[in-house]
Amino acid sequence: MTIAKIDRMQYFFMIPNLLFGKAIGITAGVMVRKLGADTWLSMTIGFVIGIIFMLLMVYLCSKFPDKTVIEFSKQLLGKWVGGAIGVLLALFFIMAYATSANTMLLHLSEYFLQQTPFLLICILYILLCMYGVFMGIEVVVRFSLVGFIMSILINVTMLTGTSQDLRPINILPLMDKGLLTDITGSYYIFGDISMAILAAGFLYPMLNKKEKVRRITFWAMVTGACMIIVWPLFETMVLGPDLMKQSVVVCMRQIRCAQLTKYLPRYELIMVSFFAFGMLVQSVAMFYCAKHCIKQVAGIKKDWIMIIPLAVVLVIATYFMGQDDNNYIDFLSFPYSQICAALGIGLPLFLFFTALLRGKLKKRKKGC
Amino acid sequence: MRKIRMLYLLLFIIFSTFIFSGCWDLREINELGLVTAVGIDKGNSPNRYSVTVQIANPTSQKSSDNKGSQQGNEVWIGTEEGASLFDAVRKLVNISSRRIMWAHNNVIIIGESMAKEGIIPIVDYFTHNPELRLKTAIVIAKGEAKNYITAKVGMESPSGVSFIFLEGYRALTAESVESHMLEVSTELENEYGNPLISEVSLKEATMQSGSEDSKKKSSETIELSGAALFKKDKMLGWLSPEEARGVSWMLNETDDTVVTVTDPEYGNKNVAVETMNVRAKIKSEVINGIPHFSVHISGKGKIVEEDGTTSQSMSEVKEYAEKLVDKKIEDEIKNSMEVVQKKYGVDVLGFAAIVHAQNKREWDNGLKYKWQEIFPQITVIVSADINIQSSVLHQQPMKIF
Amino acid sequence: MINEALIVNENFLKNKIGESFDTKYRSLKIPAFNNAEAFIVYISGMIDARVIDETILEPLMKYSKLPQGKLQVKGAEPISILTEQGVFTTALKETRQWEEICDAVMEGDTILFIDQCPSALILTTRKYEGRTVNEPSIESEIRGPRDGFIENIQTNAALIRRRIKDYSLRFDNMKIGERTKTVVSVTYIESLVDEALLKEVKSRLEKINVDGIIASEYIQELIEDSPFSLFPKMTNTERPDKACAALLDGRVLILVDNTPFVIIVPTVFWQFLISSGDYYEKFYLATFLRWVRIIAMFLSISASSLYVLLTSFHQEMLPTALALKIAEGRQGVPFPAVLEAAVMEIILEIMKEAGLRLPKPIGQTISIVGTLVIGQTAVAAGLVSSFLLIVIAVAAISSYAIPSYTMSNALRLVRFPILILTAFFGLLGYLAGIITLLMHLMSLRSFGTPYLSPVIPFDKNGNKDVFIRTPWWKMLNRPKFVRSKDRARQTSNLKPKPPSEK
Repeated sequence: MTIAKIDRMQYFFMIPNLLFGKAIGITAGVMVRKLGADTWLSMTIGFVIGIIFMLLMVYLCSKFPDKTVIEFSKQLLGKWVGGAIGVLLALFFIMAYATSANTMLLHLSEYFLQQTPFLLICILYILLCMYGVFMGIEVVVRFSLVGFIMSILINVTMLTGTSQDLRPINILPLMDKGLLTDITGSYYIFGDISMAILAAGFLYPMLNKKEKVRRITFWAMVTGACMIIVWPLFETMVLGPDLMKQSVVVCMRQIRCAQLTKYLPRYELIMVSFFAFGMLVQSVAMFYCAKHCIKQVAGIKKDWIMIIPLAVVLVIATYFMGQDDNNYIDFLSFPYSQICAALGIGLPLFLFFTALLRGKLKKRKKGC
Repeated sequence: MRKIRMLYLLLFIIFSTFIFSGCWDLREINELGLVTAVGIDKGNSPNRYSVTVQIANPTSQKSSDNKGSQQGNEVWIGTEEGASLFDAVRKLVNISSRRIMWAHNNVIIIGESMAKEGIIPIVDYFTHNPELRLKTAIVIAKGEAKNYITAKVGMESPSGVSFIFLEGYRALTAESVESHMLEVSTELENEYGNPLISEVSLKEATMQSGSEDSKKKSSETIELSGAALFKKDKMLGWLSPEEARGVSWMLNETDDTVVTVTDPEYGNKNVAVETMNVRAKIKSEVINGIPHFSVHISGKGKIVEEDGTTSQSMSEVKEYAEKLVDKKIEDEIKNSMEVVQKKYGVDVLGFAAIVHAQNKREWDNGLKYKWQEIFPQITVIVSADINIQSSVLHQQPMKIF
Repeated sequence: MINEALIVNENFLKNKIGESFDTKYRSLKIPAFNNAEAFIVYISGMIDARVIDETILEPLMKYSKLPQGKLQVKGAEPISILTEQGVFTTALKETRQWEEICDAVMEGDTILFIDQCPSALILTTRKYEGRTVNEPSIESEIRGPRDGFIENIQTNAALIRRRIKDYSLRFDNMKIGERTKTVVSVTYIESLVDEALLKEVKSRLEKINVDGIIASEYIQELIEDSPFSLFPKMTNTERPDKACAALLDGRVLILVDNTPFVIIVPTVFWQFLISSGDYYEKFYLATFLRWVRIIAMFLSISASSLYVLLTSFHQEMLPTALALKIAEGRQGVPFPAVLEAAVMEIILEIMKEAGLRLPKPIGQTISIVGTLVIGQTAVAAGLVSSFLLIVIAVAAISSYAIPSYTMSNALRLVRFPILILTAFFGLLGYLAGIITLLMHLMSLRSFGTPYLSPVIPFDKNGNKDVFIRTPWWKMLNRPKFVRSKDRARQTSNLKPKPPSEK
């Protein structure tokens, strides 16, 4: 089997995509219910922490340049513990896929296709993702450039469309609930950052060149963070925290307020069309990682044996998670965010200390 | 591999049978009733709502092109009553032959009595509905909203479409406030917000073109001026156009607004000044548990009309006019503050948010809980500084020798 | 191996290549060789009779003596003497192989057999009837050279040679097709081309084992990557200037005899949006035109789907005035917008196809019938809405704004699945269609080059000639994705500037 290779540039574009989709609408909503007007601040704090752990993960990976997370945790901790981590990660990615897919599906089922059966939208979306996974990670990664451009376009259109309705008083006073609340509440964003952190463990070995990867990761995370933080910031300024709390998909409500002159008063369709590209990259990447996990744990060589059963599992998971929007949002605020934070912070730390104890970090390789 | 391919084919066939069983969301545009304006009134019995919709009727648009204004035909108007708004809207299907589509609605007109009872159902229904934009205008009607749906608005037709344009130019006089679904719902949801919604009233149309026939049908036109003041969801009373304008200055909702002042140097003739880039800066300071606000209005202006003759130079006129304009704006603000603060005692200006933002400690330590009582006691110092920069085209005031 | 006895050879040949009306066997005696018996064989339609008369028959029969005097006609000697002094033909070859002889006859050469000689002489006398070089019909440009490739591979090669006088320009010929024995020439500039690419092209060509190659498209289908894909992964061009530009990029051309189209490999998607005219205009205009084409491409794929999407699913996106206008137009139309669009698309396809095959004078009738009857009357009768007609027309015109005919054909087919998906799933269907299309494009490769390069994967240098055309003095390097051996195209600082003051 040939190992697909990823360009570093594509890796750079990939990371914002992994973060963007769910964070702008759903996570912002989850956080605003806890933190009010300080959501954007708390998110920023979350990203600072997230970037540290992302870099830790990449640092770990750079010590085992040709191995995925599962492979090197097997090497560090033995076959069984490594396998357990693999299973854990597979479950995580399946959940991550379901949440990510539901983000897109919520946009569609709540605003556009209210009459179409949810299951059908689900299946179509997963078929679309399946096609992406079949095409292989190379195609997904190539697609991320499109996703990145589209995400920037959403940001630009949103900013231009809502700039006339900004009310800066809405985000004042800063740290209304206290800095401590902001810091402790920041873990919610890990529901998104963890996806990037853990996916990096799978993407890293596929990079074709490994110089400067840490710097690239850092800037990619910063770019992604900037693209995301604009949203809660503007959402709070336009809608106010209280209106944000009310809606399921906050970014859509934000977009309902945007208008480009009175001749083009509607944005929703444009925004969702742009949004779909970035979202798809996220979903497909999660699908791919889940597949990769199972493949490495179970030692299956051929892709197609797994993709179809996995797709069926994902359809079921997505369908039951997204059937009731309120349950989905509740699930995200508890326990999903907590699990994500535990995994995203815990796994790199755990592996780092194990590696430290076993002395695997000492032999530096050149160019890492 | 062949088996796998067969499996895919099978899956595809099963899936496509699902698909081809129907197009769920497909609705043809000509089978939709595109609502252009909606009026909501209280029903005949309590907890019932009456919904009047104006639906654009595209068929007769064509014919109206050649034949002047044929008012009644361009729109279809229907009224239904129901126990909930949704119920009433759905009942409209019984008479309309088309499915109601809110996406192109431009204005929600709420009847006075309905507004006094509470606007929660309306705001909730329309924010629930993904079709409606949050930038849709929302206004309170003097009397029954129903009558407004049939009345004429401006020059465009259908009248709902015309309303956007009407609303778009409101800042020129600034005698109403900006009230869209977005602002209203934000204020309602907000812990310290009280909505302020523009008022519409019916006015006998003075200018009439067209035939006798159309004169009878629509001799009334909608006028947008004044505002309705709410305490949370219930309407308390009206602000006159002048008072609404005073509020507009503070809410930064003026744009190219004209201020006319009487100049004694002109022999008590008027000078009209068009203001531009007007910004209100509100600062708060809490002394002895009572917040004090200072409102500073700054902006530019230009002289657009002088009604008298004078021997003074333009710069002298400017200087004089500046003072008068400042004074006038200050007076307008003070007047409306008086009404809002003393007569109604409701903070519709968002002073609470300003205190919260600028004096967080005091706000948290008590103001928050008794804002309602404190609001009438606050003091507001108003200062205006309009800098008249140009006297359009004229170098000297008009002189008669 | 040919026999010494003339009669045996003649019978063998008559048996092998038959005695069709155009296969001529002419016997003669050569006075110089003691009136030795001889015969020539040729196919009448493929030779130049004058050449045979003047360079073969005349010298052989007219001069009774060759300089050496009388000779015994035995062994191979006479042939070699003839080669040196006997006949006047420019190209000739001595052979003993039957296969070679038969092939030569089939290609229009004349073969001379002499009694008692163990070898024969192949004399090149080919002359095919064919077009002369004239203006390319599909890829016509406003400016730029007016010559186009023709069916004759020799001429085509000459057209390339005329433009590129590099010593390392190579034409590697091979014959493909069991029966047609078509000459296929792999053309490249040796000092530029990537060896791996060249090897791949040759090995793919060598693998072909078919009965016949009638046109270059046969070859294309036989060596293409991802054969099930709709999209062409090789360019066809009939413009020598375009072909030469490709050679200079380090690409490989495949010339096929009897086809006026030359294949260029590797090809990326964006090349179909580039016309050679771009290089003959100011770069601002060229850049602008490229964007026009990109927009046209988008419209040709999705104009009708967007119409369905907006009028049947997401009417809120239309500005109110437009929504009312469309609703007015659709008033009384008895079909859903999807059906309306699909039917009109199909009618349009029928009209296109009909217009293509009709003789020119009748073609006009069709266009009048098409526009008047289908267009105006259908709207007047209220069967279709006038707005839809505009949309369909825009889509149809857009598809012709794409410079490449093959690409516009591919896109023509793509729009139907997207239309169907949109009809069932609205926005999701439309996006699913577009995304699948994009992913498909990204997964394609043309001879190892990703199909969407240089945009995806991104290459800064390659992008100087995609969405914008930078001026020539800026395009310092050959595009990376062609993997040329010699990346540098030219020296830097070529930007024209006024002579400095110093």
